[in-house]
Amino acid sequence: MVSGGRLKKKVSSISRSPRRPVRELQRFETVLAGALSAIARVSAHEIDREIELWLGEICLTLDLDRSVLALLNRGVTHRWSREGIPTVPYGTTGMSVSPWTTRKVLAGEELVWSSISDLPNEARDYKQWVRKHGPKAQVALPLRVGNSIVGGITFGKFRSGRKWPSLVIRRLRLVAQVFAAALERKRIETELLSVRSELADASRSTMMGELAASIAHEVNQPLGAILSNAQAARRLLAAPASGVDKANDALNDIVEDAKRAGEVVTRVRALFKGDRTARLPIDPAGLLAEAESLLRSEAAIRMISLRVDAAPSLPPVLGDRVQLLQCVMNLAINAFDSIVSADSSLRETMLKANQQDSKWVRISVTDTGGGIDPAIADRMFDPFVSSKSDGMGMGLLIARSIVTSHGGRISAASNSAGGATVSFTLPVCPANAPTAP
Amino acid sequence: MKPTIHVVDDDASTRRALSRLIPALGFDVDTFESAQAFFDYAKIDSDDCLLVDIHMPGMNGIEMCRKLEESGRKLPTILMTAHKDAGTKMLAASIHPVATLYKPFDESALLNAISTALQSTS
Repeated sequence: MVSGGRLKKKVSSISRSPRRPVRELQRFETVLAGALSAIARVSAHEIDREIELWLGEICLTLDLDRSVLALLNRGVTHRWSREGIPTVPYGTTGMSVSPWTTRKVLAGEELVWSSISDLPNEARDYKQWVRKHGPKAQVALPLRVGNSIVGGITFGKFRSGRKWPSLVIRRLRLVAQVFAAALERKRIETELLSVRSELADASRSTMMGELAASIAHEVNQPLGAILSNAQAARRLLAAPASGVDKANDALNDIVEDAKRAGEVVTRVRALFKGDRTARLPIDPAGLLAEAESLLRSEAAIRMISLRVDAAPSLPPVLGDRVQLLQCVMNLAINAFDSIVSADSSLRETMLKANQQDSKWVRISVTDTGGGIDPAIADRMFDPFVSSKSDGMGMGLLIARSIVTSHGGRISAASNSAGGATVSFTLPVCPANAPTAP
Repeated sequence: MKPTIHVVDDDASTRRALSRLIPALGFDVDTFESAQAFFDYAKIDSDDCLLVDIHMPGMNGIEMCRKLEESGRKLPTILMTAHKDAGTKMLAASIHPVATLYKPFDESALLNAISTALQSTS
């Protein structure tokens, strides 16, 4: 999102002509218009980057050397400084640099000074600091959201003093307003995203919970009848004269109910395994593209960049499309969970497909999350083993069961650069394989 | 005359099992496959009691008990269910049953519940 205004930073501005302040103001208005419309347009996760870019842009246009934006409770969050001018570390609090300025700004005051002699005596500590490493002229403005002050922003010149025309101050005030509003928008949207992602988590665990409850119901029903029949039979057999036939009926029902309970288990197993009849040629690249489209919104909600990298002209594999999709998605959701719980600064998940050899295609899911916990590394595909506090440990179990029922193998490893890769192989469709009979 | 336990459950195997077990425990039994069948055919005495499954298609066990109470023929009620979750427990508690039995339940639990129910009628 480079606008005309931003490109103008390449133009030198060291002209000493008396017309310079006027030209500077004109350019500033152009830059400002670009900044305001860009900030209003960008999506929430781009706001931070955009604010820093425009801090630089504004400083260059006004021939300033440093701008720092700090939020209450978070310290410095955005900054720009000219080459050779010391930067302020992120997180630095205003109080630790200049309690006097900070108190004034948080009380809603605007501080504008053009040379150190403008500073009042009460600012003695601050003057000392300014003499040692500080600016020679500075503007400090409060950031307001509604009636409350959420932080402050400074614009400083270090190489020399400078005058601050009232028009410039008015415009910088506008910048402060727009940035404060954008940061508030970001805070609200981030909060919304986390609520939505909590909801998605909840609905996923509800799904597993419902599955578990319906299995329990399906099994408890025949078990209840079995127990009642068995106890009835025991009583009936205690009175052999009248009870043997009835006891026999009860035993027959017990046999049927035992079968019924067994069928529930078979059905659950079939749910995770599937039968072998639905095997069709599948394009691995198409499979990953489909998975990507299904996962896109979940990735966006969790602010994860999801990418697909399929080698060109891969041969089709033989498999059940729905099951393989479920497998890839389980692995991707695990990857997302790992990135979110590790709170990684790099948030990427990559779905990859390439040909391992003439018989096998390899599909892998790579993340930038916390990697594999060595304590569960050799058990991670087992049921009810999970590194997540709320995990059922079913995702990898189902993935493995799908892969092995396709004749492939699944494995997982931590990446040397951090995160984990889970990859599995699928057989190349025989008709297309060069080694096919 | 022995009191009758009216069993209402959509699961056929459960109905057959209870129609063997309950007489073996010393009571008469009558079984119905739905709430509707119970309202259509049941012959109720004031010293009888109900053994009703909560989750049934059509009218569920809770609605059936409410409807019976509204018509002025309240009987001591034992609920049974194969669901053991918080929602079912709350639903069950709303009609103040004598007991709620979770399938599979033991004959001693059933016998205790029936005894309590019948005591409350006399």
